[in-house]
Amino acid sequence: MMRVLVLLFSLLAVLPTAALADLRELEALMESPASLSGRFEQVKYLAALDTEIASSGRFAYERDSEIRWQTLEPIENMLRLTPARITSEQAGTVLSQLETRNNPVVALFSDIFFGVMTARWSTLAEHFDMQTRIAESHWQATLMPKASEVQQVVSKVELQGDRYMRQIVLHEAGGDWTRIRFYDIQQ
Amino acid sequence: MVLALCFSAWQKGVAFDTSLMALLPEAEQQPLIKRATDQLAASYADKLLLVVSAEDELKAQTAVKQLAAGLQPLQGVAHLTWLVPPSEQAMDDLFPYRFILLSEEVRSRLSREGGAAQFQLALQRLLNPLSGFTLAPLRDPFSLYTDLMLSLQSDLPVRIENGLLRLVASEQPSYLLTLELLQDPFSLPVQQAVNKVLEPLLLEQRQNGITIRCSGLLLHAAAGAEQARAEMSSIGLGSLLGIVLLILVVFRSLFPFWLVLLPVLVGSLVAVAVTLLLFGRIHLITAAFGAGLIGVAVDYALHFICESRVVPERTISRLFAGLLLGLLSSIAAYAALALAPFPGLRQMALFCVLGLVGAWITVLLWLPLLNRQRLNSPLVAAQWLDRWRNAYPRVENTRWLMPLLLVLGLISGAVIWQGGARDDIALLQTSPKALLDEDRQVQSWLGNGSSAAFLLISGRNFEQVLRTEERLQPRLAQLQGQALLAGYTALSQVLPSQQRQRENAALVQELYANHWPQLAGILQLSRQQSEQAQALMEQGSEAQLTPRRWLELAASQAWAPLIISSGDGEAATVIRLQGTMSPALKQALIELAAAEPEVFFVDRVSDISELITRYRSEIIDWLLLAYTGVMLMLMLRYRWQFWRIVLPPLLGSLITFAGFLLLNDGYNLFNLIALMLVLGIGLDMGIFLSESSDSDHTWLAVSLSAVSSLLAFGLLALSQTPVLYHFGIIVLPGLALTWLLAPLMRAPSTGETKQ
Repeated sequence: MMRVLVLLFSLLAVLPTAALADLRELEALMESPASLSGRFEQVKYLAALDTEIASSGRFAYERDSEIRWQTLEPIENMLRLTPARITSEQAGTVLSQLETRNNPVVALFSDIFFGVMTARWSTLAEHFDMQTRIAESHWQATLMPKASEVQQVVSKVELQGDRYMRQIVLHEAGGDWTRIRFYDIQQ
Repeated sequence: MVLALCFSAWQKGVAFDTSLMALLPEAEQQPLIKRATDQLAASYADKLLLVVSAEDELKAQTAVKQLAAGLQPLQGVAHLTWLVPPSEQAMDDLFPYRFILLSEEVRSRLSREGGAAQFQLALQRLLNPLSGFTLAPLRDPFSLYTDLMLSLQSDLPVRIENGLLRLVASEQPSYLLTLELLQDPFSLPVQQAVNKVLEPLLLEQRQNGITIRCSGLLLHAAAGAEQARAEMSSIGLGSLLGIVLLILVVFRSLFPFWLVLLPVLVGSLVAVAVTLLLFGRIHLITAAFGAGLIGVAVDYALHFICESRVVPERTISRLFAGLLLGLLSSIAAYAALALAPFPGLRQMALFCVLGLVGAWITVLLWLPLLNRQRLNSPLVAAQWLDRWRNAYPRVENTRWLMPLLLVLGLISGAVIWQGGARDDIALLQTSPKALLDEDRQVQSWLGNGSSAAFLLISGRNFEQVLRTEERLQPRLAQLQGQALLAGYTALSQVLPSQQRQRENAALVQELYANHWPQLAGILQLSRQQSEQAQALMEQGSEAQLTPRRWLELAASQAWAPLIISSGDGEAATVIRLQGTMSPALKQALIELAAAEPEVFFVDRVSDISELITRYRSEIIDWLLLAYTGVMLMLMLRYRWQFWRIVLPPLLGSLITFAGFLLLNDGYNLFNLIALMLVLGIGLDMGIFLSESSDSDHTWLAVSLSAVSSLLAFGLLALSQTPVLYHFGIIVLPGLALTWLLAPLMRAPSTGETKQ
C-alpha cells in the first residue's frame, strides 16, 4: 500500500528523469514545488464483490518531511507518512504505527519515497518500465513493475496530467483497481 | 606398538579443532540446556555468511551477482542462497488460521472497546489508494491476515531489493549471501574446497573496491588450522633448531642429537596418536602447546647422555631415582592443567603426559642399547659451566644475598597482593582479531548481537510450554518498550497454545458481532454476502492449529530451530533474544526466569566468564596445596635441606608474577596454570641437582634442559593465541629466573669433574 502511495506522491510533483528523452520532456512540462496540497476523489473497485467504493478528502505534502492523506468521506481518517514511520490516525488517536526501521515492506516503501523526494529519480525507473504519450501540454504514462516483489503490490500504474498530476489508476494483482483524481492543486 | 597406534590414528584421519566451544567446559546445568546450546550453536556452525558492501547499490548488486556466479562450483559442498526465495506461497499456508493466529498488537486492539480500533483500521485499509495486500472483503474483511503478515515481517534484519537480500542495519548498501554447508566445517578437505573457490573471488572483488565481510565457523576453523600449522612449525621447529644448535655446541657431535630426537619423536607420535584416538580431533591449542613438549621430553635423554659421559656403566640404574622423580613431578605439573574443567586443557594435559611417558620409556629401554659409543671424555662445556658456577655466589657465602632475595620475594608478594584479576572470555578466542571483528559486525547487522543468551522453556507437553511462553511475552514486550531488549523470537508468536487460539477466536467473534453489520453496510453488501462472510468466520474460528499440523506447513521452517524437545512428557523451546546483553537487561531476565519454575535464563558468555573467575580463585588454592604437598614430599627425602629445591621456583614465580602484574592490568587463570608449570619444571631441575650430588655434568644436563624448556615455552610467548601467550609469558621468565636462582641455593659440594 505504502509503496505505491509514495510513488503516487512522487509523480504528483515530478516525473523521474529516466534515460528516456520523453521523460525529460515530461519533466519539463511539470512543476516540482517544495509543498503541494489539494483535494482528491477516489473510486476503488473490489473484484471480490464487484463493487465500487467512493471516497474523497484532502492531501498535502512537504518535500522530504511529510505526506498527509486525509480521507473525509465516507469516514474521517488520516494517513501520515514520514521517513521514519507510517501512522494511521482516527480523530487524533493512533490506530497503527509502522516503523520503517524494523519492517522490510515499510522500509522499502519509505526508501523509494524519500529516494524520489531527494531527487533520486533513477530509483523509480529502476522499479518500473515506463511508456509515455505526450500531446502538447497533456501527457499519459504507463508504468509496469520490473521486479516480482513490486508486482505483488501493484501490477500496473496509469498516469495522466499536465503541469500537475491529474489522474492515477492503480491496478492490483488480484483485479482490484483504484482511480484517483486530483482537484484544486495549490503550491 | 608405536607403529600400530600411529597407523590406527592415521586411519581415523587428522582433524584440527579450533572452535571456542571445544575449549569451553561442559554445561554444568541440566541436559536440556546443553541440548539447547548445542542446537543453537549448530545453526551457526553450518552456515557461511557473506555480506557484500559498496558505496552505491548498483556496484554492490553487480558484485553479488558475480560472487553468486563464482560460487557455483561449490554446489556439492554447500547450498547458496542469494535471491529471495518464493515465500508468498509459504505464507499463504497460514491464511486458514487467520482467526486464531493473532499478533500481540491485534489482540490488544480487539480486547479494547470491542475491537473498534481494528474496525477503523480495516476501513482505512479499504479506502487507501492501495492495500498492499490483496483485499478479501468477505473472507477477511477486518484484514486480520494482513496484520499477521506485518507482524511476522517486522524485526527482520533483511529486506528485499531487486530480489536481493539487503541488510537493513547497514548504512552502506550491503547484501547478504548464505552458504549452507552440507558437510562438517572442521573437515580439512571441506575447508580447502571452500577456500579454493572463495578466496580468489574475495580477492578479485576487494580489488574492485568492494568490501566483503564473512561470518561462519568454517572460516574460524580454517584460520585455526592454518594458525596451528604455522605455530606448530614456528614453535616446534624453533625449539628443535635451538636444541640442535645447543647439542652441537656442547657435544661437538651430531650423534647425541639423534639420541635426543628418538625419545622426542616416539613421545610425540604416541601423544598425537592416542589423543586422536581418544578425542577424534586435536585442538589448535593442544597442538601448539604440545610442540613445547619437545623441550621437556629432551630432558631425560640429555640427563642420560650427560651422565653416561661420566659413568658409562649402569647409567640408567644410577639415574633411575632422579628420572622417576622428574617424570612424576612433570606429570603432576601437567596433570594440574586437567584440574580446570576445560576440555581443551584436559586434552592438552593428556597429550603432554602421554608424550612424556613415551619419551621416558624410550630413554629407559632404548637409549642404553643405542648408546654404544664409549665416549667418556669430560665435556668442555661442562667444565666451562662448572667454572662459571663456582664463580657464582652462594647464599651461604654471601651474607647479603639471602636477605636481598627474601626482601625481593616479599615485595613481589606485596605487588601480587595488590594486583587484580582480569577474567575475559576473549582469552579463549583462538581466531585472529580481524576475523572476529568481521564476524561480530555481520552478526550484529543480523540482529544477533554478541551474546549467546536465550530463555529455555520446558514443560510436560507443548501446550504447557506455549502457555508459559505466552505469559512471558508481555514481559518481554515491556523490556522491548524500555529499549532494553532489541527483539525476540518465540514459537508462540506463530503457534499459539490451544488455550490462546480459543481466546483469539472469541475475540474475533466479538469483533464481528460489534462491527460487521456496519462494515457490511459501507461495503454495500447484500444480505446474502454479509451472511456468507459471517459463516466463513464461524467456520474459520473453529480451526485448530496443532503442533503436528503446524510442523507440516512450509511457514514453520524458520521457527523449527526454536524447538529443543518435542518428546512426550518433556517438551522444550527457546526464546531467542536479540541485541546486546546489558547488565540491566540481564538482571530483568534473571528475575523473569526466577518467577517461573520452568523457565531458565541461559547466558553462555557470562556463564563462562564466571567459570573462569571461579576456577582462577580455585587454582590459587591448588597452587598453594601443590607447594605444600611438594614441600612435605621433599622433606621426607631431603629433611631441612628441602628449601634448596623449593625456593628457586617459588622466588622465580613470585618475581615473574609481580613483574607481569606491573606491566599488565590483570592476571588470569592461564597465568596461574603457567605457575604450576614453573613449579613442575623447576622442581625437576632441583631434584636432579640434589640427586647427582651437584655434579658438574648434572648441572650441564640441568642447564641444557632448562634452556630447551625455555626455548619450548618461551616461544609460546610469541603465539597469536591468547591462552598460549599467557602461558608463555609467565613460563619464560619464571624458568629463566629459576635456573639463575638454583645455583645460588646449591648445597656446598665440589662436584666431580673427574671420575
